[in-house]
Amino acid sequence: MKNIFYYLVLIILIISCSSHQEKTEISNNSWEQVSEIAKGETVNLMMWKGDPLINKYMSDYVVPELQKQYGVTLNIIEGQGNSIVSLLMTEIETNKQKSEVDMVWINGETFYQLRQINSLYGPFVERLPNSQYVNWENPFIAYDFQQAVEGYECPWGNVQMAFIYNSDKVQNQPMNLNELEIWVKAHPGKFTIGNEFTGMTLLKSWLIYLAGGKDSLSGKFDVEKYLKYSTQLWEYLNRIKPYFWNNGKSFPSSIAQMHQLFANGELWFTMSNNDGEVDNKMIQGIFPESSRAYVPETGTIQNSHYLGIVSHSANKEAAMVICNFLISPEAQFKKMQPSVWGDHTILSISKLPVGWQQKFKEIPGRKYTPERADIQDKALMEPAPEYMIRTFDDFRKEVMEK
Amino acid sequence: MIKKSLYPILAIVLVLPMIVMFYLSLVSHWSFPKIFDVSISWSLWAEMFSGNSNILQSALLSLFLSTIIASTATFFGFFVSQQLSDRNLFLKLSYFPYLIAPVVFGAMLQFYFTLIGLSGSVWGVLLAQILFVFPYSVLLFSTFWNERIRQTAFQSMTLGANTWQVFLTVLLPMSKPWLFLCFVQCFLISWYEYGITQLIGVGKVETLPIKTMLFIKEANPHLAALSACIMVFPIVLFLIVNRQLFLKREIIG
Amino acid sequence: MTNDMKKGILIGTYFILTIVPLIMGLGYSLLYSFGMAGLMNNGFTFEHWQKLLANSELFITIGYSIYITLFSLFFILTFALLFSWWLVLKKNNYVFNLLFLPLAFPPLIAAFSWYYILSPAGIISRIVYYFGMTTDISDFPRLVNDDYSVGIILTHIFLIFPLFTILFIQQAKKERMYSLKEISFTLGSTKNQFFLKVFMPLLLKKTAPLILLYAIFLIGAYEVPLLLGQSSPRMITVFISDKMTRFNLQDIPQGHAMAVTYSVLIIGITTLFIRKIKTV
Repeated sequence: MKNIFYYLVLIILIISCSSHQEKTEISNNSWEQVSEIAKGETVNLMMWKGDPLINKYMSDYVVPELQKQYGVTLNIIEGQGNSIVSLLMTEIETNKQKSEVDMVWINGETFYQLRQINSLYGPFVERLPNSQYVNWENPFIAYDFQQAVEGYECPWGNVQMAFIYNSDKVQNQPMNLNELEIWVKAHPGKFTIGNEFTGMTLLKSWLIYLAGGKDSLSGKFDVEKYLKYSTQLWEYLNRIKPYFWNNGKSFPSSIAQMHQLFANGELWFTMSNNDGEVDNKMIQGIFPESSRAYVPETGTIQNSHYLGIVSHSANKEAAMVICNFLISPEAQFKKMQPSVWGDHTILSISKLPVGWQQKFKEIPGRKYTPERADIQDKALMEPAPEYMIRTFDDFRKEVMEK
Repeated sequence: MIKKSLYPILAIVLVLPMIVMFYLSLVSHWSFPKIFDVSISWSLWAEMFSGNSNILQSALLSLFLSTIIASTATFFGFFVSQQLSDRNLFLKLSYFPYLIAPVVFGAMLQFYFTLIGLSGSVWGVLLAQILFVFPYSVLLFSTFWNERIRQTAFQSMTLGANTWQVFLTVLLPMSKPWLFLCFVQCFLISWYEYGITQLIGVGKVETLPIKTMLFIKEANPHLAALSACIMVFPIVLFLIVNRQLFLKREIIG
Repeated sequence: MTNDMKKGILIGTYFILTIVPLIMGLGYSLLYSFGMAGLMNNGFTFEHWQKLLANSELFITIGYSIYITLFSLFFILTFALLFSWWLVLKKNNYVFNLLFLPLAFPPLIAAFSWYYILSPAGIISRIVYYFGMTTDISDFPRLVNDDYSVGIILTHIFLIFPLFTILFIQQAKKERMYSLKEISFTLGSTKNQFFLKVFMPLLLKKTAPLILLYAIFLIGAYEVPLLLGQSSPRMITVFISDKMTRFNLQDIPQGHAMAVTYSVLIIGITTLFIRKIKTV
């Protein structure tokens, strides 16, 4: 019976040490060859799964279409930001030949950290046939947190942050920091900032505003500027914190939680990185009828989100096919529907074939949030990734723990 | 009497979570302050059984994992414990891996799991769970292997029985309740495990607890409640039939 | 192969499967916390430990975990003693049967259910609103994600006090509490005196190892504080998983340092525990 034990251990070791087939270098293959190799491959995509509607777009549309049109199987795993980076870090530390994850949904500071540890494959974006339609002229797409994309990540969607509020309860939306301060003092417990990605994006918008507005923080991370303006920001936040939800004693740790508090009526404000989200959530009946969105005068950050391919993935061909599909006019069109996701496209409408141009123009307009053209002038570019990292850290130290 | 009024309150406290779970799995549009004027429908339950949903898939995966863990741990725990009851040091050392919070244990070991290529796989999760379920079963059986059992076995041998006969006709019948108990307890530990499964499985091994937590993160109480019901109801049913099994935790917790 | 050799191999394999991983894991975390392992690390440094100690985050986190553990245990044992005292003579009282229910609940599900019972948008709040005792959702007191961690403590009580109640009842029967009570009454003591001087101490003493065991479990609680706790302070396990998986890569060594601290703490308490129990 101890023999059985030994065999068990042996089996486990054998499975773990099974040799991996070496793939020939793929950078010289033509697209036809890539598509051919991709057939039958399975790709693991790690992405944030905190929004049921995005999950539905993936599971009900993307996954079946990929199977049908290209014979590629897409598997989605939950993971975001730092958990992606620490996973890939551990894999590189252990010299893993074949990654557990082939594709990642990322932007900004995650892109920055992944490039630091050389865990992204590229450049690959130019090889995608559909990249000819991408709006590379738009700096909000070609640059990710002030870093040139350089073909190492493929743009997927573009969003601008917006405040969402309950128009039945909020008559005069606060348009700047002063007005917000007055408002929360008059209505304690109805506003808060999430201790997560969207909340940090708002804080960065405010940092840029305090530093002097558009482009004031562009370029490389400037620690002096950061310290100067973040001090002002923490002072402001600590002043209004006692009037936040839960007296500022705790902050929602996920955007889903904040949306729920808003839907329940506990909060009269929530926010979203996606200006199209309010339409999306209202069509689905999740937000109350009186929800509306707006962008304050202080401006909000517009950014694009991207897909990357892991450097030691064994299924790079299939991953490229998937990227190409996701930036196809067909998939981008579907994604932009307010009833599906409402995520703005990264394609340049004028570069598309005429038939598609027409279709994009006819996408139902937003009913509850301003049109993108109307808020474009208030769009701020993402500052360098270090700002995000420091803000997250210091928000905890200077505000949450005070 | 205070006592008399406390009993119903206690009863409500004990039963409320299950009722709430079941209720949440049936309602929709559950905005404040609705309690009863909500739409009740079995649609989530129906969808789950229709084959489309992956809650059932997760349940099957959990069932598979937990059965293997419980069988392996029970089987080997029985024999290892027999050898160990003379050596108190090893027995005492068994407490350590069992008592460290699985999530911390997993965080410290993740490097090694990736190194041997087991991270993100069912095998990896199996190995990770065995690391702390196995000591538990050894500790559990250590209370079975007492003097009396040894004397009985010894006496049978002096009467002419060989090792195999002693095992089959003496030890096995006597240990049946313990084997059953150990299997159930190990099964439960694995069935409910979240922390280490999430870390070593990298989210790819979607057991029922992982699935439930995903729904909770999505702030979807209805699907989370449904998943929770699937996790808990079978256990409660089993409990009603086998109450005493759950009490043996007093032995080592 | 002789019996002794077989024995040796079996025990050896068991040792490899249980103790060795713990040592390996601790070793890796220790190295990582001193900058000697990990992709981003640059060589031996005290930097990460210093950061951990400088913000007193280490002490706050451990202190908070101990606070939760002690308070939870206090209420668990108090309720368990009271209810076992009241229920010990009642056979098949319906409440006694219901006590078995929480034993089937895992912490994750208990936390989830109690969140939707206790939160401002939860069941109790809605009932209270229905009876007109509150007029707005924010009138309801904060019981989850709150300063005093009421939700966490209540959930721990729900999960553990039934077990102790049942155990105390069983133990009381084993110790023939009823006869002891009779004897002490004939000797002139009152009910209260008996409870305080005989019932309580005897039961607590007999179950001391188990109480210590549950103290260790509570210190390492994860799912309950994850769902019901505040952003700060955090319990040890939440702190560790936060540092290892949220925004700042430079924080990972601190997570490992805390993992080492926690492990040493648990190993210390466990050693105490082992000395207390009677080994078979």
